[in-house]
Amino acid sequence: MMEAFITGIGWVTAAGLGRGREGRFSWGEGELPAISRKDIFADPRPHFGRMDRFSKFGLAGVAMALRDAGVESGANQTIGVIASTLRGCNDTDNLYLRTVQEMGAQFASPHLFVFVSGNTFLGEASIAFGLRGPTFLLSEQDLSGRTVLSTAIEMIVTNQSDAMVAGMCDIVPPDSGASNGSVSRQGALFFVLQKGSTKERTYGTLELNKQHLFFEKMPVDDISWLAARLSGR
Amino acid sequence: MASRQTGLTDVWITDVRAVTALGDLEETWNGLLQGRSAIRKVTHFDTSGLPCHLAASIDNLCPPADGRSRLHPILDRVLAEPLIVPKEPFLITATIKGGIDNLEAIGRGAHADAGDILPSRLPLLVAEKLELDVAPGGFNVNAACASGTIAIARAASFIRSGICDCSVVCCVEPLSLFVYSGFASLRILSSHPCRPFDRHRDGITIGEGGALFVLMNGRTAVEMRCPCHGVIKGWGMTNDAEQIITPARDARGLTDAIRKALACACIDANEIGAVGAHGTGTIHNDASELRAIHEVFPAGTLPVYSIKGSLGHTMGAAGAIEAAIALKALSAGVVPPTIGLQNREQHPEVRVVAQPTSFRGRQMLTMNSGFGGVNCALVLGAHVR
Repeated sequence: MMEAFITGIGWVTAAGLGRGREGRFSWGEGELPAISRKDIFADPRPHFGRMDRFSKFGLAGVAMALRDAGVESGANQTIGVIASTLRGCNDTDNLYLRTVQEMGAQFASPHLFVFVSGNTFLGEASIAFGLRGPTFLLSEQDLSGRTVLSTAIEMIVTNQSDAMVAGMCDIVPPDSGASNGSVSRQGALFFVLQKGSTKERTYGTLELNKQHLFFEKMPVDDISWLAARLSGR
Repeated sequence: MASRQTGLTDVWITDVRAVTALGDLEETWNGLLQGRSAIRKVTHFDTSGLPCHLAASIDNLCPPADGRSRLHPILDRVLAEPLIVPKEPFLITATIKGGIDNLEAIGRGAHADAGDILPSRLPLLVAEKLELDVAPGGFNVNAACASGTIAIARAASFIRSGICDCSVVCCVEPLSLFVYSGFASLRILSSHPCRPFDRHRDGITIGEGGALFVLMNGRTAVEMRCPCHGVIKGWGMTNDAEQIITPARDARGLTDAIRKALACACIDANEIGAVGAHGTGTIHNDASELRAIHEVFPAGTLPVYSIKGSLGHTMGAAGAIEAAIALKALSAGVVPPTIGLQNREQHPEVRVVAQPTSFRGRQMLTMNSGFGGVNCALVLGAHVR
């Protein structure tokens, strides 16, 4: 049995931005809100406005989770960040390809190309918050988030990182016609998992037994269930 | 710390395959030792208007006529032989853009399978081709150019932790105009075949390929009477947390990843026999990598090489292809030449080799870095009976 403490929860969904100690998680309904730099950072970040939509949502979810855990400054730990996704940066792929096909390959957008590697937002989060641990994107069909949380626990227990920010980020392209209520979950939801924690800072213990995940002995089949259960308590 | 015999708790490599522009793993290895380069003019898409027209593309790799991506024929070659694996292995794939050529085709109005586009579907495709029932929870790793390395590291870590007994790692990256034009737009493509670690290097050459690793714990491998091609001894992953495209100048992230991999393998730096470098041929990557290698191996005596001057940069498959070549090097006791290297960087003092070079030692280090500040290093060990 492997275990880690949940110390932070953060999200951005159709219901807005939120974090576990200040609100109740839900996926909400309808379209995702616009994210501005001021929602996440107090200081000017000229680069933020140029990020693709996928990166903005992912970065916002990571930021809210770190804020909830009180480790926005890294707290002198090695923190990694991993995320699960189904569609990844597919929206950005389409935008980039349009520059290639409409203007010619020699006029492809270098700016958009940087964001067609789905892991770029994890790098943005690493830079923004000084996270020097492992970073990678898990693309999978199952958006329950079990694999990404299991992976994070395993990485903490085996000393690959002191703490991990782990969760999911998935968005539907706004012009796909699928974003008006027909997609039940889109946005970003992240947890901060740590090796040790004070009683005041923890939501409880997440356990991994082989490939099965438990919170306080209850099976965890979906991270949104976990977020809904723990937030706003 | 002395190296020990391969044990039942080690992560065994029971199958390893690769397909590159030089051929299968054996052909690729022999071609590298002979100093052959597979870099040639791109023929399967139009590069007119771009500053570069070269790539290491696989011969006779016609995209299927039924609207499937070019990744299918590469996967078909990698997965041609059946696997010997226990029931329900854990499947991890790695690709950055997978079947993105189908998005291009759809954009042109051609018939193409949209299902090939998303990397999240790659584990399903691989399982279908292998006709394999896999454990739930399999996923594709995207960590830019370190994707393949991290996929192997994750699989090894799951096995060592007892989460699974066996993992199949399949990495693939086809050549596409989508990716080619992107690197051209960033002005990272060299107009010549790339020259890793050369003083006059000026960028990358893109390649394509795939690789497969089957990893098992020793007990399962013995029970299934699987051969041992080597072991995954250690791994280390970090992020530079500095810049998105270029690696950190001080190479701190990569240095830390190497040190973590050595610590994970429970060995000292002096037990490494050779280094398979990322060696992309860009000014910044190679400078940063030389700095990291010098930092950890200051004696400057270890042979260091890059295979990208022959095979190009195979993106999400690079880490796995390079690990497969490193296993061949461990087995032969010789590292391949760094093709394209003519005028070696003099500082820092690192022994990048331009000729096949013998080495002593039963462990090798391979490493990759990528967009987003990602670094990953692997320690591979020869099988010791």
